[in-house]
Amino acid sequence: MTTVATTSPGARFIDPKVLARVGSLELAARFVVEGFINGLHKAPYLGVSIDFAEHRGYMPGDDIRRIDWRLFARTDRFYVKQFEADTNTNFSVLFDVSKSMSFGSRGLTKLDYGRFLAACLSYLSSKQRDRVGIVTFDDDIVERVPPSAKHFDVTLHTLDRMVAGRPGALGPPLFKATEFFKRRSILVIISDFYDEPEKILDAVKPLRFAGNDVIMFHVLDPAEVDFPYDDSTSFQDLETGRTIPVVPDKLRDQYRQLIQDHIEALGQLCSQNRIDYAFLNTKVPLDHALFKYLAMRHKLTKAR
Amino acid sequence: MSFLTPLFFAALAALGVPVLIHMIQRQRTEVIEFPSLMFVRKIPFHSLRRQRIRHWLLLLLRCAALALLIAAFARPFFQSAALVAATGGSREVVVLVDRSYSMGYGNRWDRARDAARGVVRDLAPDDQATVIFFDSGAQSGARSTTDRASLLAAINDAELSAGTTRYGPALQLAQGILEDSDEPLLEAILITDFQRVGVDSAANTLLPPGTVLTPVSVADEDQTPNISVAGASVQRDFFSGRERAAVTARLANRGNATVENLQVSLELNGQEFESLPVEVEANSSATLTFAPFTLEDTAMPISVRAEADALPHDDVFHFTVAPGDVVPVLIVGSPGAADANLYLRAALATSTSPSFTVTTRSVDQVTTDDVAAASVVVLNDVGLPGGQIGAAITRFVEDGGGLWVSGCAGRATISSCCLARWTRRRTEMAVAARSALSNTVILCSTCSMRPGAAI
Repeated sequence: MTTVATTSPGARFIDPKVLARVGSLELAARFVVEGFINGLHKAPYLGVSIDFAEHRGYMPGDDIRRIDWRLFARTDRFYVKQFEADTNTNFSVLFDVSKSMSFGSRGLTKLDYGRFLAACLSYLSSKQRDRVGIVTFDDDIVERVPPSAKHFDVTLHTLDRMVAGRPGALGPPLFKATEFFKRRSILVIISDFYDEPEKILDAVKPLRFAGNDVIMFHVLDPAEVDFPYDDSTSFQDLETGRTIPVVPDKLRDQYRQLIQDHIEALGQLCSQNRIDYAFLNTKVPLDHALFKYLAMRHKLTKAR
Repeated sequence: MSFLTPLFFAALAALGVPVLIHMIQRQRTEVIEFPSLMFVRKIPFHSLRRQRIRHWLLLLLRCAALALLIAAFARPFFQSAALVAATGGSREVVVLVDRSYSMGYGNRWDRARDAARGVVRDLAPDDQATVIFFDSGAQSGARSTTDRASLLAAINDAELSAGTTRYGPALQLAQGILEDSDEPLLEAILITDFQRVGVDSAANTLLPPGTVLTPVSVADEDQTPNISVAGASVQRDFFSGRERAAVTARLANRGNATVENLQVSLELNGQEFESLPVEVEANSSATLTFAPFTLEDTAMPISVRAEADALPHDDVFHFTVAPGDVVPVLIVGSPGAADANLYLRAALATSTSPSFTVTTRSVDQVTTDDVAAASVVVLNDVGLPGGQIGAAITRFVEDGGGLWVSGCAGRATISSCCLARWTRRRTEMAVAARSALSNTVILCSTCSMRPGAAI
């Protein structure tokens, strides 16, 4: 079992059970990322690795040890072998801490579920020598920890401290966050995405267009998916505070259909924009959900 | 089927309550917090009519439960004839009719007899019945008879008594009759006004198993105001030598309302003498004093009569007043000292029971007729006269007459032989007649005999 040797207060969010399950998987960037040291991710540059990339003509100044003598034998010209470069990358979590994330019908709130998720992914990235950071936001940026190899503990601290208390919005804070990530990074957005799918994508696209590998984790409580209420009563919107009378019997089916359509629309739009989208229901154990997602991502990465 | 307290059916109006609950079933006041109502708001608004009754089965069950509860409170019971029709077989019926004093209130007695007659008329041909009339005791006519005519006649001839109510003897009598019966169905019908005082006596009475006891109350539902003449007292006095009496009547009001202008009359020898209005407050009593009247030589019947109310028996109080005992007293005083008897006369005049007629004579004027007419002779500061008068007084004393000797030793001289003889004579008379002769007292307040020492 993987153990976490840290005394950080946020270390409790790194669930050994989850790590035991997903520890063998890697969170590898699907896209080319820039880095300083050798890592798991494909760099935009050619460098030192065992993966052959291409030949190019010898130019004065090239190390003669890199000349492919076999090719010289066939073509009587000097060619130099070039190899793919592996690198490390920035890994940053964009965490929605709007009031709606504090909802939890089964004791575990979406915020807590997201904390475990973010902590595990950060740990995973940290272990593979990626630089780890976090940005929390509601309708504005709340806290920002720039990605750094030394910021894993700070990230855990931030996860521990954050409180869901204000109404949220995706557009403004994500647009602002775009400026934070100059270097192409892996960005994990954890939110309940209560907005129109088009608007959500409009908020996320700038991040994607900057070359980041964006992964959207859509975290919902089972009560939000199934709407299991029976009695006619008033429902209060956690974020707006607005109260409306609801007869659950009458609209349960329509509600379920709408939320499914929403999830499907998000998945479809993300797919079109080459953004990874994963729907997580908090009733499903995190290790199970995360393993499923990472395994699928791993498979897709290999396929490419 | 009838109901003992059909008024409870007014509570059927409460059936509207579950209907109302079903119609205006308000949504619960608690508010469920939900992350976002974005999707709920997208769903077209459905207006739901709250006034529409839903859950019909639940409503019917609730209404039925309420209706059954009300019916139970109304205390349904089956009439006896219906019961017989339902069960079959002949009955042994005991009808217990209360005829105590309280049954005279209003028309209770008539209602009780009507109820009893109704029971007798409802009897099946094979039914045996007994009518028991009870107050503090119980008595029955023909036992276990099928002759309805005799039963009805017994009911018609029954009269109220002045006794108090006791259920014990009547129920014990009924118990005996029912235990002796061979009929399969036993039934007792108790027709009474249910006076609380009578209940304790029935504590140990147990009717045979299976007996159906049907209570029929003839008590008045509302208040039972009642005025009674609780008693009367007579004050006597003398006016112009004639004895007079003034009657004071005491009236009690048992009701919860004050009675005003109640006319109360005093009847002498059956003739109304005086009528006065009186006010008696609720649950209290009042007294009323009539004008004094002169007593006749013989005892006269007197009645104090209040206006009739629902219980007429206690509205009149009868009594007689006989002329009081008048004791003739002869005071023999010193000649020429008329004022010497003034205080003695005044003292005797204050007494009313008995009252005294005083004749004052000086010792030289007294005659033997005076002595013979007196019951008591007072020798006020004089000695025993000599001669005929002295002999008459001596004889008077020996025959039981009273003698009071007052005065100093030097002047009031009665020979010791006289005293001894009188004493012996009185002892003999006392032994012979065992008579108190309390008015025959000889005292000497100042001589060797101490005051208060009786011979």
